[in-house]
Amino acid sequence: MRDIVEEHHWGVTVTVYLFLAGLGAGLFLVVAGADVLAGLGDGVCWGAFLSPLLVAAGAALLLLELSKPLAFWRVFTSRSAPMAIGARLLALFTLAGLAYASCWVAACPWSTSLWLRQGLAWAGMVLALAVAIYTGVLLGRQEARPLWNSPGMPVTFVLSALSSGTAAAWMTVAATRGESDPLARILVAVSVPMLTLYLVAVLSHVLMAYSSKGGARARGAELLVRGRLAGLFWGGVVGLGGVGPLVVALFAAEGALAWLAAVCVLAGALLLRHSYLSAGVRQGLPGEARFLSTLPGPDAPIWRSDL
Amino acid sequence: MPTRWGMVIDLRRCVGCHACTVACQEGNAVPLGQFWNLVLTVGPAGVYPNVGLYHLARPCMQCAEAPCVKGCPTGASHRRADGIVRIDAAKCVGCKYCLVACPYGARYWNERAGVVQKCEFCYERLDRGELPLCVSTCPQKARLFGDVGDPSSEVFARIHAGHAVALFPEQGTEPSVYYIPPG
Repeated sequence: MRDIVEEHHWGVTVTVYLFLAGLGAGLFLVVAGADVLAGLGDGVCWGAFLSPLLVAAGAALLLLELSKPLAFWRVFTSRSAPMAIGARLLALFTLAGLAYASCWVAACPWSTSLWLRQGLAWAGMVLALAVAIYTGVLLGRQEARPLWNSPGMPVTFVLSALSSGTAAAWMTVAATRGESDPLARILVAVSVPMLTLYLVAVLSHVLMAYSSKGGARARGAELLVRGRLAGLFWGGVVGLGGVGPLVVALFAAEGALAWLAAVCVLAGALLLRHSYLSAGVRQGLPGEARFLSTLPGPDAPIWRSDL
Repeated sequence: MPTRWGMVIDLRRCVGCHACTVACQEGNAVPLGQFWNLVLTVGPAGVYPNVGLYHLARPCMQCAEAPCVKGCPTGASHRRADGIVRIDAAKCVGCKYCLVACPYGARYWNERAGVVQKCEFCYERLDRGELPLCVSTCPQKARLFGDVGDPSSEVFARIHAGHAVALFPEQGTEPSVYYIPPG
């Protein structure tokens, strides 16, 4: 079996950023979709305010990850780098999302314009879908990380964004209009196919990688299926974030159980990002894994003598 | 045709003395625990009497299709006209995309400086007409340096003699560093 190297260059902030960007984008798709496709925007308008703020909060976390946060504008200087495209998408979506949300503020003179609100909803949905896809593509195009390097990544991340967005939209409706509101019931019904597709995407991606022949792709998936991340993956990503809430939605449970299920969907989406980032191993050079295992740990006294 | 600097490392000659690593660490003030010129020991492997061991030096591959350059959102990672992949520290904002993208693990995060660093083929020495430190230091003459695009160069001849290989060619990175396998 060939060596793999586990490197974790991106930490918790990137995990949370990927989660918030997906959640915000998914929430906007559900909210704006309910508005323009079903005429149910009144009930979910709180989500319209929340979604651009979630994405903006994620982008702010990315700034904290940089060593030179004040030089963040440099990421807009490249035309083709994925992160540069992603930065533009995040900025444009945040602006479009806030503009759409402003249409629900009665004090705004343009709040009576239906065509403006619907136009912004469509523009925002296109950008939200692009943001959700981007978070998967950012990892998915990394050829050096075989587990990520698959069309399954953007598909999984979009479906996770949609299922967590549906859960967040239900929470805003249940909090403002009650759980028995017809819109809340519609969202519970919508969450069934969303969670089912999410589970199909996650399991097919990971299990197909696990069954592939050797290499870093299979070894990364092995970490999730029966390695040190197995508890997190099966218990958190699949059970807590998928199967559990799906069962609750199928039986249309209400009250504390429904709220718990919605929170579990969000927790599962966060754990999905964390476990995928952790399992994105690199194919090691011959002898590299053995060499790295001989180095002292990060807290060893020797490193303190660095000049 | 513009120059494209490259290297051929003869694994049959390398004895793993690590002189190249020491010269690189000292000459480039590489932080402790980081290895711009890493020398790995592979083996011993096999069954007696067919047992083998070799040493694999890993500088930056100076890829023609470098994923670090393509993915850098600020243009800090760039490729010079002579093929050397450099990092402009003033432009690096520390997003670490390139660290994730490099299939060879050749890039390092300098926490103190807040920038990514790596082997740059000692470009300042090259600009003065000198060889990279790892090449000039090697007592075994295991490293051959030159223009890999020049048919009259020795590196070109060694690369096209039929048995030179690049690391992870399936990644499509088109490295400028080639190896003569240990046999």
